[in-house]
Amino acid sequence: MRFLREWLLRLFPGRADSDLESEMRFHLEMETEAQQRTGLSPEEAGRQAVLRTTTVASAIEHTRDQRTFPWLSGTLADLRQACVGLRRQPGFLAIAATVLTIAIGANTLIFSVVNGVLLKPMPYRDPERLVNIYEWSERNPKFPLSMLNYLEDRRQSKTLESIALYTGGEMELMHGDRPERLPAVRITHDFFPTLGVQPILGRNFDESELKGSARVVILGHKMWASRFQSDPSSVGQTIRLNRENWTVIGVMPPGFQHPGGSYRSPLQGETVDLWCPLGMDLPEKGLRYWHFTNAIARLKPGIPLTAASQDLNLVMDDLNRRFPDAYEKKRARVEPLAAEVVGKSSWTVQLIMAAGFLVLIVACINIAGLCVARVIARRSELAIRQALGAGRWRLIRTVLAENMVLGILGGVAGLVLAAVAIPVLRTVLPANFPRIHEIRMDAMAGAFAVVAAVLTSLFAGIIPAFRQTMSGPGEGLSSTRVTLPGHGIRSLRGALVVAEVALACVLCFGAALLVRSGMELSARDHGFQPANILSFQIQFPRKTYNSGKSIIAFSNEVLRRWREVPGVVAVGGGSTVPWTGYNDNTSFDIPGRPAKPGESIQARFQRATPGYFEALRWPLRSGRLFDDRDRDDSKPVVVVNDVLVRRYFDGADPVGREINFFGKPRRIVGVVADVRDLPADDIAEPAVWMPFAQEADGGMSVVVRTASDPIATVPRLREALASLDRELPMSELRSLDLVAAAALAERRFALLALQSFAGLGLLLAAIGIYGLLTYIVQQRRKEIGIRIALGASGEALLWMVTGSGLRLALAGVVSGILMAPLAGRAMKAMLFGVSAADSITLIAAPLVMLAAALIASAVPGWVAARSQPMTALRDQ
Amino acid sequence: MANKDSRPAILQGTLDLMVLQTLASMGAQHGYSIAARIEQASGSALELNMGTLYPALMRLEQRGFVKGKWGVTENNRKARFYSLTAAGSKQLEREKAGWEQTAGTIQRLLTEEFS
Repeated sequence: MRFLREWLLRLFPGRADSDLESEMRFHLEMETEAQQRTGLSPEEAGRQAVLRTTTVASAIEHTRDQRTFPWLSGTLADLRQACVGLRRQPGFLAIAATVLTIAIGANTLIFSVVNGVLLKPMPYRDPERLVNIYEWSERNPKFPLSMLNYLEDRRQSKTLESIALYTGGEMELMHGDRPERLPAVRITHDFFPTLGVQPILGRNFDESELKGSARVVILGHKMWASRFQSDPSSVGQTIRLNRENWTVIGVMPPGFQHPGGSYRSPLQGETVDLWCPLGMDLPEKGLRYWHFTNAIARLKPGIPLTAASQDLNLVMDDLNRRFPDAYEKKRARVEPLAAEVVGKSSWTVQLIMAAGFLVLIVACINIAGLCVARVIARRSELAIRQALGAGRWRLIRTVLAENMVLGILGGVAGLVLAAVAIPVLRTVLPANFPRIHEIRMDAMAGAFAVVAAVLTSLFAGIIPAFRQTMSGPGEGLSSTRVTLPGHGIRSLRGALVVAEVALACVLCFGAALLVRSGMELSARDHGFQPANILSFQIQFPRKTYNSGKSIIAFSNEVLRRWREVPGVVAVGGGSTVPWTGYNDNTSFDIPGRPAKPGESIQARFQRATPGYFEALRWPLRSGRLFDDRDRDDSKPVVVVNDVLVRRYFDGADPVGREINFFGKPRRIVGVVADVRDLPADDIAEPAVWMPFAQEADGGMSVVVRTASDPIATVPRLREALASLDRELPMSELRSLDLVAAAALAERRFALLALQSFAGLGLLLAAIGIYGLLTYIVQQRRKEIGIRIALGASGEALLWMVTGSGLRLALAGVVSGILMAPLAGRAMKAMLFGVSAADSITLIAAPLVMLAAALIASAVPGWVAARSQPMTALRDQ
Repeated sequence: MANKDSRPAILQGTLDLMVLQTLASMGAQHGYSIAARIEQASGSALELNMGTLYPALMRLEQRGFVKGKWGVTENNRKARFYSLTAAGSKQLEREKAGWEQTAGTIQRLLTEEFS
């Protein structure tokens, strides 16, 4: 306390003691001289002077008291006393501080997530002016922008400062003698200026370099540092990418973050190693029809989203007039970049924020219950203070000082707890969670911890403080010998416990809803079986595999060799692996079935080799799967899925019918089951597969079904690939279980968070009940002793105490059930297959709460039942 | 506030008024001369010891009514001189008015009692 006082004095400087002392010494000298003038000897004059004006030391002492602000010294005294008082009550201090620490730790952790993911501005110049732009249509509300749209937006719009296109991919870097695949993004020349950055070395792309044939590249800073040892002469050098020579023309600054994108883009963050120019030299139709680029734009200062959207829709109207085939029924859609980056994860963040806040309230109520008991223990002390003339405010301040000290302790401890937990949290969060790199302990989170802790603690103390100081001193003094606390106090603590139980019940309900969603989800028919499947990517560099024929020949051969690897059950290749969110659409037409008004006939387009569906155990509904008969010189065929049949063929078996797909009439030979883009999606989208041999592509996702552990076969598979092409890497190697886990990771994280919070709420509520009952048993020792002496059975006493606890719990649970559907509705976006007021959950969650309450009230009941009447009676 | 001798105790609040008034009428003064002036004006009835005077000066300084500054006396000795600030002049007017009212009230009370 002394230290605190000194520190505060330094904050509010008065005058230094030495300064005061010399002033007073002068005063004393003047007085001494005056005395001497009356004829006294110098010694006598000095003595008289001191008599008349006191000593310097004593005067300084008096003056110093004047120096600090009176309220400050009063508060300091209160705090000092609070420290002493708390030290004498280690039990109260330990429980209250622990409860506060855990609640604040959890909430600080959540705050660091909220701050990093939602609040912190994106690391670009004026980030609030950055937007993503899409083409909107009924079926595809967020369609990638066509290049013509970009060009026209750039030419005509009046609200955009600049607009740029970008699309992600991977490139194969040959550095030394090992090939590796690096994340790359193709961009237009205005991409970096739109974000407000430029290379720290070299230059940006030129508009004239936006060609498929351009071989210039800008390096990401991390990659430049790790592979080129930050050598400035890298700029101008030639590197091997996709087996061709590319010239490095620039290096991006350290810490530059890719903005992310919803369409084939690495995540937001320092996730990109290579930037190359986006080829704009497409065939004329491609400019309108091909949609594969994200668009980012910077609004002019002061332009609201609605104005930008209106402006871009004027451009869209113009495109509509000129090219109705490509732009009919399309609108421009403008979304703020920050919201796009966070996406659906903001639901998760908000859910855990709400749950964390509930835990904080429960903790606050819990501490309030403890404070009521603490204030009652101090009743006589407070009454004496009041009798001696302390005002009401002074009393409240005295009581709250303990809460202040408690709050500071809890805040600092909670801050430490959160700081330790943040690295752990990062490992628990799904790897693709937005802005994970921004989640850290910083000054904001630290300030949050301490402020939240102090406020929580003060709130907890305020009701008991007011309650106690409302009465006159007489009550407190006269009741010091009465062991039974007033009815009012008990009902106040009871009400607090009821509230705690109700909130904990709501938390349990929320967690149980997510558990039920998870169960529904895993019980769902996913359309294929993910166990024991290995998946990986291979890309065929254009330099070596320059024609469809060479790709097909190679892939046929490598698939054949893989099939012969021991342990492999089935192998196939396709455009994608299920549950990775693949959503490339194309429109097509069905002869004899014109599109209905407002309908656009579209489907996901994919390729598959023979063995692909078999490896995934993807059920065939009718017709056949692809086999070796489907070659580039045979009749073009396709396989479609169930939902396509339902949507466009009214459910009639389409096998044998033809559709015009990808520029050719193709015959439908089979129908397979529906698989959703992501496991928790509501519905599957129509999809069409073409045989890889008839429509070769530059890359392939390979799926390998194995008899046992899929990872064990990797070396043999790699050997087989190397025997054909030593330089070709296998990338994104993982088991399909892992793909499925990744697709569900965020849901799992939300469940884990909510379960922890529900557990915490349950524990706090149980502690609240236990604390109250223990307190009552303690207070009623004498009465209980008399009851036992008079022959009350232990069982009866057990029920008396336990019953009173259960009654409170029951009241809390009933209020909890009333609030639960509200909570359920708030988390609707996270639910799957259960309603917001799911009846099973509505019964199960309160039962769990009641079970906890039973245990918490049985322990004090048991203590009461076993108490010895003589000890109880003698104790007083 | 109890005084060892039978000298009159300083009524709470009046010391501030006295100090302010002294500074207003005599200009900047050091602590000793303020004390000497008050003592003189009271006909030696009031003797201010340092333990009373300096807390008052510090209080007034903290509230911004006076301002202390080191300077040199006519005898060429270093002393801390106090002067009235603008806020101090206003405060003096307020306190004066308050005092006159109080004094008037007491005066009336006393005279009524004797009449």
